[in-house]
Order: sequence, then structure tokens, then C-alpha cells
Amino acid sequence: MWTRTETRNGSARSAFAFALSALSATLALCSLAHAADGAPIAPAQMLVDVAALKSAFVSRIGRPVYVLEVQLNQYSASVLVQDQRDHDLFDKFEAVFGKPLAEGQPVKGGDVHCKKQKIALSDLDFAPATRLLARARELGAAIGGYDVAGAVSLDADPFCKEFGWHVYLSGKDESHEGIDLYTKTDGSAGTTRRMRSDGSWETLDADALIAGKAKLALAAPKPQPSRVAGDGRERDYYREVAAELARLEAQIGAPLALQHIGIFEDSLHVDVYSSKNRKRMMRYDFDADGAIRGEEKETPDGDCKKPFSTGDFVLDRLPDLIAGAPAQIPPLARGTVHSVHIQRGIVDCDAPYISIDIEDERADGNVEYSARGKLRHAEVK
Amino acid sequence: MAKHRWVVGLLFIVLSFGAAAAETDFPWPNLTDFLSQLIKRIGSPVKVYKLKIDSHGEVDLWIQDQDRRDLIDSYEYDHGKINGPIPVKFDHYPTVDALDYHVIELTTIDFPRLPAMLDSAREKLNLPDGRLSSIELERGDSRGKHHQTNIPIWTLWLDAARHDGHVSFDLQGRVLHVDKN
Repeated sequence: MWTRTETRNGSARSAFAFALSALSATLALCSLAHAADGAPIAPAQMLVDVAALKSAFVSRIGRPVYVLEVQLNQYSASVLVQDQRDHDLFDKFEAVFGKPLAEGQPVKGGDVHCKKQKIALSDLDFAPATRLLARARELGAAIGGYDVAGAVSLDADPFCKEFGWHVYLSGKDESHEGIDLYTKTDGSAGTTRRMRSDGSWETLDADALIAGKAKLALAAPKPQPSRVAGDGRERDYYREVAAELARLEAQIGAPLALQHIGIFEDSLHVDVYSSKNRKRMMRYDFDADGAIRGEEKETPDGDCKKPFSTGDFVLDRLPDLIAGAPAQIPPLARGTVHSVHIQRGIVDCDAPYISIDIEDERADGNVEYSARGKLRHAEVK
Repeated sequence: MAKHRWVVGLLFIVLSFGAAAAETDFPWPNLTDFLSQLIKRIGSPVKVYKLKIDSHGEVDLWIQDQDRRDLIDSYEYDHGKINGPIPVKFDHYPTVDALDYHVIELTTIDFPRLPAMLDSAREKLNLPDGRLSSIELERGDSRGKHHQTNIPIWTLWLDAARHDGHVSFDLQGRVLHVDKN
């Protein structure tokens, strides 16, 4: 529909259609409320008096424009428009219920996400938007566990391909994944999709869900993080890492299947493969006072899923290696240790290595030891 | 000391655009005062790694320490006060050779060209009401990364209601690049 009006030298037919829509807008303007200074007044019921809302925008803008984006809720509406004659001019107009519409605010062309997808204001109908919002509320109520949808928007997708009305249903908890309801600008081609926690989209049968003929399978709730209280004693993890790893091992009750150890002076972070499935792992974060917070997460893509143990590297020599690391880089000899990381090689998944990051006020450096404690390199970054 | 007086005297001549520029809409910093104070403090030559003037007229000047040429220090100037030296920390520290190549002798910088460059930038960007949002000067080798040129480059960033953009100039004020959003 919008391609017709986008044509600069339109046909007689499009000119006729434009005249008709202009006439219709003029008729609507006759019944439009205006403030003392002549500014059109937005309707009190923004989601009900949508014809009055459109007339207010038409009156305020006062020239042929394309609409690129709309935000609409019961209190306010905004439109991002492009001048039909000068495609370099973008403005944003806002309407607040019961208030006169202000002048538009210029918008930089570079800030406009998608300039290709648009609809002439004369062709824009807000009614499909409010119908979609009502349908989203119906769907949310039928499923349960979702916030009441409050807003509808018109815009293009991130790839500047799909252009239409959207309502987003937010779940009240993690098991209720977000649902996006979409229609084209005229209300056709409606789709309802749920975004899964793995990033994929699942198409839903909204009619069946609203009618109670289908039930939405909810996502499994994420396990809650475990927590061990600290004892109030301030740790120096560079010196006490061995004792703290032993404490974690005792808590788990099994040898640590390590993926990564990250050591900072006042915190320790240990990633351990799950014993059942190495696509999952536990992250243990130690606070300065020894408190431990454990949380399950996915093993990173590309990980070789080959655990190492505390016996696979020189754990007993680690405090000395850390303390002596700055001296290995003469320009950073008076620097401090920023952090220490122990993990297998990312590319070849060979024996774990010890990487010590050094810093001072001017530069960063890195000292690397093999699992046996042999110096591999020491250099300024 | 005689050399310092000569450099300061030269700066008074080359920086005398300040009074005329004060009539424009940009809060031009008093570079004469800044550089005079700086030269008194650290001596000459002053070798500029990078210069930045923000929209409030505050200046951030990175210069090479001539006693430790592997070090770069930042000096900030705001309404007559100098704050510095502030040690500069690089993500990847350049070699002394790279730093020696990158820096620009202060005396080769023709500051009075700036107002004319601003006029030129407004014209090239077709932004007659464009506000100057920042000015930068740095050699175009950009710490070893490929750039359009490896000569010192002035970049003037302009901002207007509907557009923004930047124009690059060489030290002689010739336009190198125009980019409008």
C-alpha cells in the first residue's frame, strides 16, 4: 500500500487516492479540538479515539509525510516522520492525552534505524494497532503469568525487512518467555511468536491459546544459585587459593572437574564441569570474606569439555609464581598483579597454563607459566 | 631560557586568534595561556601526541616526556588551570620509535587556522548552524593502524539539529575528508 504513495511522480490514480485521503483527513479535522493557539489537542482516550489521534497528528504536522515509527499507549503517542518532498528531513511528534500537540523535534537522519520501511501518514490506520494490543491482553490473560500489555509500536525489524505493528508480552518470571505479536500495518498477516531462552523463535497458535484449546508449555525454571555464607575473615586469594579450592572440593564432595580458575586478590572464580553433562557447568564465585555463590550455566561454545584437576598444575607453587611475576617484566617490576587465570589452551586444549596479568599506571603486561611452572613468556602488552 | 622565551614569544604570535575567535559561538580556550604555562613548567620542545578540545573548550593535551621518551603524559587545561601530568596508559604500549614518529612538534602547529577551518567545515558539511562539538589533532598513523594518511590530521566535529559530521584537515588547513551523517 505504501509503495504507491512513495512514488514521487505518482499516477493519476494515486493522485486521486491522495486527494480522497486528504479530504477524509480534512473532514476529520473539522471535529478536532484545538487549543487557544490553534494547536490540535490529543484525545483523552488515546487507545479508543484513534481517528481523532490521527487527525491531531495530521493537523500538527501539516504536510505530507511518511511514518517510520510509532509508539502508542493509553497516555501518549509518538511518531517519527519523514518529509515526503525532502527525504532528508526527519521529525518526531508527540501527543499526550488531553494536551495540545507540541511542534515536532528534528531528528538526525543518522539516528533513524530504517529509512526504507515506511507508510504515508494519510494511509496509516491506528485501529489495527489497538486491535493487536487488545489481542495481546487477551492472550496474556488466557495463558497467565504475563504482565498486561500496555503499548503497541510500529517499526521495522533490526534487518529493515519486516515492517508492522508489534506488541510485546513480558513474562512475570523466567519460565514465561517473552511473546511478540505482529501484524502488517493494515492488520493482516498476524503472527505470534515466543522467544526461547536459547534465542530461537517458536510460532504460537494464539487463537487456540485464547480459546483454551492449547496450552503453552512453560520453560523449566532456572535452578536457584546456591550460597555458602562467609566467615568475615578477609582473604588474600593469591596466597590462599589452594586452601579455598580444597574447601570447595569438600563442599561438593568430589574432585573438581575444572574448566577455569580466575584469581583476583579479593575474589576467586571457579568454573567446574557438571558431572552428568559437560555442556553444563557450575560457576563458583568467592567473595572477599569467603562467601561462595554457585550458579549453573552453559559451557561456552568451542570449549573442548576436557576437565583438569588441581593436581594437573603446580598449585603449591602458585603463590610464589604470582608474587614473583612482576619482576619477570623489568619495565613493570613495580607493577601489581591484576589477575591470574588457569585453563587449558583454547585452540589445542592441551595441558593447563597459568596466565598472570600485571599492570601499573602506564602499561599492562602478561607472564605465562606452563602447568609445571616453567616460564613461557613475560612481556608488556 | 632564551629558547623558552623565543618559543613563548612565537606562541603569542601564532595563538593571537583567541580574541577574535571569542566572538564566535565556540568557547575557544586560551591556548596562549595554556601553552605558555606548560612550557614554563616542562620546557621545550613540546612534542604533541594528541590534542583534544571538547565542546566546553576544555583541552586535553598528550605530550611525550622528553626525559623518558617511552612515556606519554596528559595535561588538561580548564579555565586557566592546568591539571597534570596524568600518566597515559595504552592498551598495547607503543615502542619508542613508534612514539617518536607519532608525535608532532608544537611549533609546527598553526593554531590560528582553526577558526578558518571551522568556517570551511561548516561549508563542506553544509551545516551553517553546526555547533563545534570537538576538535582533535593527531597523526593519522593512529598507533600503527592504517589510516587515510600518516600526516598530522585536524578533525573538527560538528553537530546540528538534523545532521552531524566531521571534516579532516592537514596542518595547512587543506580538506582531507568530509563525512556527514
